[in-house]
Amino acid sequence: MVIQEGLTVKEKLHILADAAKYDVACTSSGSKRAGVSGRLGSAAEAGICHSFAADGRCISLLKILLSNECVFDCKYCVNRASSDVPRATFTPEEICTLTMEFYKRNYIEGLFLSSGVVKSPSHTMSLMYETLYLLRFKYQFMGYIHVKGIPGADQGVLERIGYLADRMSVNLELPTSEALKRLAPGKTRKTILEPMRLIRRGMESNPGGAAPGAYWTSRMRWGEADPLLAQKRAGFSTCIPGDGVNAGRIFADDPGIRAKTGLLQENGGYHLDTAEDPSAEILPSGSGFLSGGSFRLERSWLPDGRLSNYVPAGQSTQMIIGAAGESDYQIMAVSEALYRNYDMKRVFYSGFLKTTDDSSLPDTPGGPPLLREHRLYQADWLLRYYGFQTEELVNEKHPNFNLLLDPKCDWAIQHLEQFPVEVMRAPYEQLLRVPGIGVKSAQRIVKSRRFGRLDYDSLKRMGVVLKRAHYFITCQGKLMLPVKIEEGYITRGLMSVENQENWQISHPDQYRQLSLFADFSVR
Amino acid sequence: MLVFQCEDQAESILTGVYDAWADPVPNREIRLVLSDDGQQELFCEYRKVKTDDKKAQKVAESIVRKLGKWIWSDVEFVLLADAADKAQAVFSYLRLAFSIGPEIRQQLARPEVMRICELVRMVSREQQHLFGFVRFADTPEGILIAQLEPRHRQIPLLAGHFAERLNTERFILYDKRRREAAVHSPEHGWYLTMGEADGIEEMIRCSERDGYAELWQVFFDSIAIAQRTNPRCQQNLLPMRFRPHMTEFRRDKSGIG
Ligand code: SF4
Repeated sequence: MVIQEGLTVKEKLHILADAAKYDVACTSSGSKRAGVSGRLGSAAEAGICHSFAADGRCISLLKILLSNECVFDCKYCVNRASSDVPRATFTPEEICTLTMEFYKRNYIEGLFLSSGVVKSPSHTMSLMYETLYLLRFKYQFMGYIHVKGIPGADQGVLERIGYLADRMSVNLELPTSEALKRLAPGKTRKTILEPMRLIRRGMESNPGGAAPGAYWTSRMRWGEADPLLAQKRAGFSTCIPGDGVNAGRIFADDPGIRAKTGLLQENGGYHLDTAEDPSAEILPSGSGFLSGGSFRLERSWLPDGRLSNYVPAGQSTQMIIGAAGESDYQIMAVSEALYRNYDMKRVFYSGFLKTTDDSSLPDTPGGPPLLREHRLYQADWLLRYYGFQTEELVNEKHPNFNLLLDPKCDWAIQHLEQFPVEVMRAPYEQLLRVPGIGVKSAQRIVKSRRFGRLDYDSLKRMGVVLKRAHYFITCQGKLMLPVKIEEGYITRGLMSVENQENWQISHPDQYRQLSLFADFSVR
Repeated sequence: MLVFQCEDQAESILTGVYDAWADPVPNREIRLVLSDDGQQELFCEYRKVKTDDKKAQKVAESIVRKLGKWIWSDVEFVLLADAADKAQAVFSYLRLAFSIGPEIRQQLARPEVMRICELVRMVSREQQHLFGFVRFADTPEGILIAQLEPRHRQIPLLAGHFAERLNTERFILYDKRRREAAVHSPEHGWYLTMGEADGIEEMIRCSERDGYAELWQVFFDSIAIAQRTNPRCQQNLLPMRFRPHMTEFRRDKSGIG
């Protein structure tokens, strides 16, 4: 390992931001904290993007590693122990100063701190803890902090640090435990799911419990019981009434998926979908919220005697896509299980890009699989906000997304019998299933149709984009254009809309100003 | 038809609204225009609005009282918009709003409401952008200074946000186009000023030596993944017009320019 002595802060920043860039998340949402006189910082519920990097990704937080030294040897990672890269380590004070000075200049919303494994997971977490502790107590920083949980770290430090942070995340890394074993020898399904469960428990111990995230909010809208109730029932296999489209059931009942995802197999206690509480085995009794510990010190960084909550902005995770031959179905089934059982705020997908020369990994000469990644994000959105369930989009028979069409269009074409829907009458839930109609548009339609008739012109002026939607709706009984409700015809029409976008997603660096015209045609 | 010509100032437009309502001739068609739009039509009677803060205050109060703070907030945004038709948009919207009541906000299909929504969206989108894109640079005296050239008048919409989170700092937010600034200090909170350009431009020159600008540029470059380079996406999300005053895009000099 090349450890360099005497690096300047600038050199360290270069190395440790560069090493952190493969982590996808950079959002600063989920916490709301008003400014307090005499202290720097506040937090905005929806988060704020401060810049966009050359790859188009939002920069909201100072995303750095504390250190890129690592004793683990995950095959997909540039920082793996056997990799020949320059190494650097920040001191906690250096991180605090950078955070404060960047924040004052409005470069950032806060800090996203991750790290390679220095000496041991627990040692690393305690350095991260020290950093957050200094920021909150010595510097009295009121801005946003996202901290990574290192798999295998001591439970005590994970519990403590959660009161200093807004969000925590533990990376799932790979969707099957077989792949994890093969590619990340230092980690196991157990050491990854354990801290996730711990975080979940911590959030539930907050006064008022944990408010449900987007996934459960929309599941409830679609008639499911609330998550706590649901989780108390016998597994997830019974909690969805109706059509049997049910991620819980897939896991519980389907040996095919069970074998493939591996999520359920490891050491019996790790069922994502059983009612029995495996944490009893996982988490030894000890200090903390699990045994009624108070953490008054960590909780007291807020002013006026207020006590902070545990991970108030919730947890997220990320998976690497395309490194281990998994199907979209496997990935989405795992995501849905994570949303259901851990109430993740977000699952992020990171298209695999080979940065090491390990022969067990596929080459990526054309760059990361951007279009596939895009489809996964679209589908993820459909789960969290549109009331779709994994099985409706991908399943045993169609395990992968259609790369040519977005998942909602693809679904709609397979279900033409449900269309067209009448804009003046269709329930909100049904409007949401129309390709091209998003949450905002559906809300605007429902709001305004109470007061008068809508026509295509008023839809457009409300901001409803019709280039896809017009195949699937009628407005006062009329189609916008004389189209045939027929699979081949509509598919061709939608493809002509999508081709351009698909091309752009897979060729991000080729800039064509002409896209303007394509975007505004069709209508 | 009677046409009221207002200045491009919130108080003037609201005074215009007041005068229009007070028009003694029943059922006369009335329009409000910004006086510099220059077009005069035949068969119209033009009247220059004499800004009267008391009248403006009265209109604002009755909006808040009878229509609620959300409608007032919409109107406030529109009054700051850069749009030639905004005086008339506010006037015709309010006329409708006072006859229908607060639920006017839901009636998106009406053209008067649609126009207000459009204008609010334009102003608030730029405001949201600027919450993130404003860049301060530090001067040797320890005053943080940010320069911007927003399309719409944003200083009044941004000052409160920064005064809250940067309450420990002395800072100046400066709209170069309108020569309008918000000045904040921990002791006195913030206030708006107009036209003090010289001192401010000198401070901006001094702030170009802020050493953190370079560290930010190093971070900005290091955090992008080369194999994902995507200028189209970057430009959609961070339009060119914001970049001249953003530290990470000013490579000739540091600071905020
Ligand atoms: S633990 Fe694995 S993924 Fe994390 S830095 Fe070390 S080698 Fe990379």
